[in-house]
Amino acid sequence: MFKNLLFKEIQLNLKNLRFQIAFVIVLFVFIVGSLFNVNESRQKQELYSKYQTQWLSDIRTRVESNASNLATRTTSYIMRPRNNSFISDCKERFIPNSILYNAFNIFGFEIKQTVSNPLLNRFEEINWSFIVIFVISLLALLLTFDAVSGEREAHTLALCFTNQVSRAQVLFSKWISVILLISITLVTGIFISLIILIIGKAIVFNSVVIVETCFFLLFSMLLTALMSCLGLFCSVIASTSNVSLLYALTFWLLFSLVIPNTSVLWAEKLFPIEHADNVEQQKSLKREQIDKSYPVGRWSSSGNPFMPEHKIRAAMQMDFMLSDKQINDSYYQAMFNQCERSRDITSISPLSLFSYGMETITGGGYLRFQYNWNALHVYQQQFLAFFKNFDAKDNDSPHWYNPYETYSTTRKPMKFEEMPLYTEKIIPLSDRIVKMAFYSGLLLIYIFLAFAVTFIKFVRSDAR
Amino acid sequence: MIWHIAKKELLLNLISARFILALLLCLLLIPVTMIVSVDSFNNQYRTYQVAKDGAEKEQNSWRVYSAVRPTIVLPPQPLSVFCQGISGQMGHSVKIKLGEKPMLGEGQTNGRDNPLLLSFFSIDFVHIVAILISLLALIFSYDLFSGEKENGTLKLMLSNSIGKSTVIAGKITGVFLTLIPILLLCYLISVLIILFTPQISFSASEWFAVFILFLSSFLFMASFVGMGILVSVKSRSSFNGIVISLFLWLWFLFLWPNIAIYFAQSNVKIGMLDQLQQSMDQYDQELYKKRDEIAQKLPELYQYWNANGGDDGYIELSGSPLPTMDNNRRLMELFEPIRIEYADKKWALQQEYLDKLENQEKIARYLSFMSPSELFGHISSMICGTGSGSYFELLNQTRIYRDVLIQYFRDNKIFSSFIYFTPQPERSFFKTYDDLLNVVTGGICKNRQELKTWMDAHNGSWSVIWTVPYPEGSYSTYPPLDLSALPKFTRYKLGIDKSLPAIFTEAGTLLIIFILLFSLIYNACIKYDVR
Repeated sequence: MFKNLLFKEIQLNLKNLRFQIAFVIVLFVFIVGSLFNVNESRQKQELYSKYQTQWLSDIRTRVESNASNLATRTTSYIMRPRNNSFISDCKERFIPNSILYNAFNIFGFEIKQTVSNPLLNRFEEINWSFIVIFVISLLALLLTFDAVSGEREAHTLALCFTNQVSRAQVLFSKWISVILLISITLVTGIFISLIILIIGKAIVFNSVVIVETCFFLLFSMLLTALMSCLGLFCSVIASTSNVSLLYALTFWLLFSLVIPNTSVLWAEKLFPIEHADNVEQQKSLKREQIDKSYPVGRWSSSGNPFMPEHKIRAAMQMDFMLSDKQINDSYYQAMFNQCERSRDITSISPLSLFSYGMETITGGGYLRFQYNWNALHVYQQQFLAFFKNFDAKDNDSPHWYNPYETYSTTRKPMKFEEMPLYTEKIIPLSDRIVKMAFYSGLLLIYIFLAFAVTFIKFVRSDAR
Repeated sequence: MIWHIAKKELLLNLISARFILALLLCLLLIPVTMIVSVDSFNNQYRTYQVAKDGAEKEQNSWRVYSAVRPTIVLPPQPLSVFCQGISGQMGHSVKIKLGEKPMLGEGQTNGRDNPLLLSFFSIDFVHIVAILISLLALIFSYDLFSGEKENGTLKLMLSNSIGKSTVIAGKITGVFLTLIPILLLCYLISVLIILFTPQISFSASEWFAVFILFLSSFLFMASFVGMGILVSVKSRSSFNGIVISLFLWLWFLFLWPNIAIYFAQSNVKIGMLDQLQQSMDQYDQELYKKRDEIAQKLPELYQYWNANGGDDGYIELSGSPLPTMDNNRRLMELFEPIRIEYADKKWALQQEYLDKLENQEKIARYLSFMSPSELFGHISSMICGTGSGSYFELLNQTRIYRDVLIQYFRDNKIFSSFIYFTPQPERSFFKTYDDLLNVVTGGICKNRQELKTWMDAHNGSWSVIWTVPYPEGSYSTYPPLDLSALPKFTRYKLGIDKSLPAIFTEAGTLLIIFILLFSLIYNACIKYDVR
């Protein structure tokens, strides 16, 4: 019986105008999105590799002229374009993408403008996750909002119940049919998109792509299940399909706009952090104190590296750096905390949850930034150790570590091939899966709750 | 009679669930959005104040003209609480340099202390209104005809002696009468929030801008009402009507804007900002060479006593003997004009980059004429002065100011005078370096040779024998420059009147869309089969 019902539902939906329109739109957006993505990713890769060559040759000239020249030079590491950004861009355009460091310290992060045009106001990029968040989620609601209320109006619901079917079966068949149909649409779209991307040489088809695609599909199906369940809920509680549509749209607006739009409010009201200019002031106060505690003549310099003033200055500069670092590190930690707490709050919205989940699937966005931020700290320690080791072998160096000047450490060239270089770390799959499990677990809880409520309401509802 | 039908529509709508839900959505969305915007504005204002204070403090510390590089801090637009435009993405502080023309602003752009928060979805009032009002316009109009047809009441109504056009006019008026209070409510809430925020006070012209903004949102709403009614007339059932309307909404609000930008980006390619920097650095390499060429011909250039240097040619000397001072003066006299010349060369590269940015934006804007919501967004950014047009105008003003400043330097022969790099009066210069050494070491070292011998014996350090104080030799003891004659940057405020023609063109397009839709509706209604 369940099979019959499911079959009927699928047939009805297939004939329905909304599904047909939606199918066309979804495919169209998938095609357009991938075409542009092919274009854009190629452009980004080219530009980045040009930039990187220049960056590396800069490092090479520096280190081959004088090792301290590189060690004391503040460089910025710019994150490379991710090649799975067709799944989701994870808002990487908006978050910091470059980290400032030298051998002695990680100074901070900033948003470096790369290829994007600041004059263009684009709040989302068309990629798979955009399609799921804005089109598929709405579609899931549109396909279900009148599932019960519509049949009630058409009086077919009562008729249906006169047969030997349980209410659970009716509800389940409606739900499953929608999930199935949307999954078919999604799989078709993803398939076409993958073909375009492969032909356009934007990606190399390998096991990583397959795994990520599968995870994406799984996640999208969870979201679809939840949204369609909410649609069913709306159709159960409303008397007419007109009203249930409104409920459904309200849900959608709430999840896609209202809740995400409040995240900044939560962040700033519930988890405030110090203003940036106050922090700057603190730093300069500390610097002034340190500056006063050192003797006159500390700024003198000469060609002789062993000049005593150099030692004083090296100690002072190190003090400057450490006092800054202490304040900075706690400020950056506060920033990370603020961001994460607000993310936790906005996880109420399944659409926000979905976009956070995308970061675990693609290993991008905030997660990637944070991971590399930590990884670069480790690298900096390694590089410093390497540099100190190299410096120790040089008898012409006084070994006074001055993080900003080249006077007091070795001036011998270092071999570029021998020095450690930072290469961007990809978050290990195991880490990602753990986080993914958390997000999908939350989604599953939402689904369970939504279905439970819908089921109870449906069983108690009046079929007339 | 029109009024009668309109009143009936209005009353029917007022008691419907959709009206209550619409109000609830407004009450939920608008305050949150406004509070976030106002908060962000306050933060921007704070940053502006801090930056401005910093710039003033810096100004009071200039003792030589090579340090005179004014920082212009642009205040945030109060109207940005309604429409962010591009103001959140652009820098608002411009440093006037001789070696480079200001291209884009610098500094913290968004009003947030934590840049990580930028990853959160955040939209402004205008966008929320666009999304909400267009949706409501469609929801209140999709079943205007098809709904009554399904109920059979349309036949009944037309069986009275009323013309079809009266019914159409009445119904459309009814929809507008329902929607206008909602739109008004949105604006009322936001205006109230602004009135109760002490940090924001609007001038008369800004209130006028809000009024114009309201009018344009009305036009925008009308175009979506037109769309909804057209769908309702053309679709077989009200159910089909809503489905088509919603997909149209999704298309115009979320999909088309993105596609337009993609089109623009694939048509005009811009490079990385860092690459521009790299090619500008090549000019700098050339400059260094030229400087070295000049410097080679000037002996004793680097016999500094007390020296400081920095960005964009800042150099401050004191205590050095006359030959050093004079040769530095010669260097400045010859080299600074070359630096200014090279700034023009660099500007050609920068201009090319900026042109590409602007071209992309232009293409995106032309394409956006196909979506009423994008048109509305663009009109509002012009009204609020947060669009690219007013931003570029401001930057242009800073470039003009740079020219004025350079002219002032030239007119007063500042490049060829000592005050360009030393606060020390000419009469207190030592004749030679040896004289200087003799005095400050109290006769221990009479010349450079003796100093060298002494230093070799004392591990390179010589501050120990610096026994006689030489207060004229320290630049930091001199008073700051009197800058009262220096030209000041005056910002010509771009009032709304300047951008009115552009606003009218785009609002006219909205009006044309609206008229076109209504003529289509009228045509379709006359032929409408009421059964």
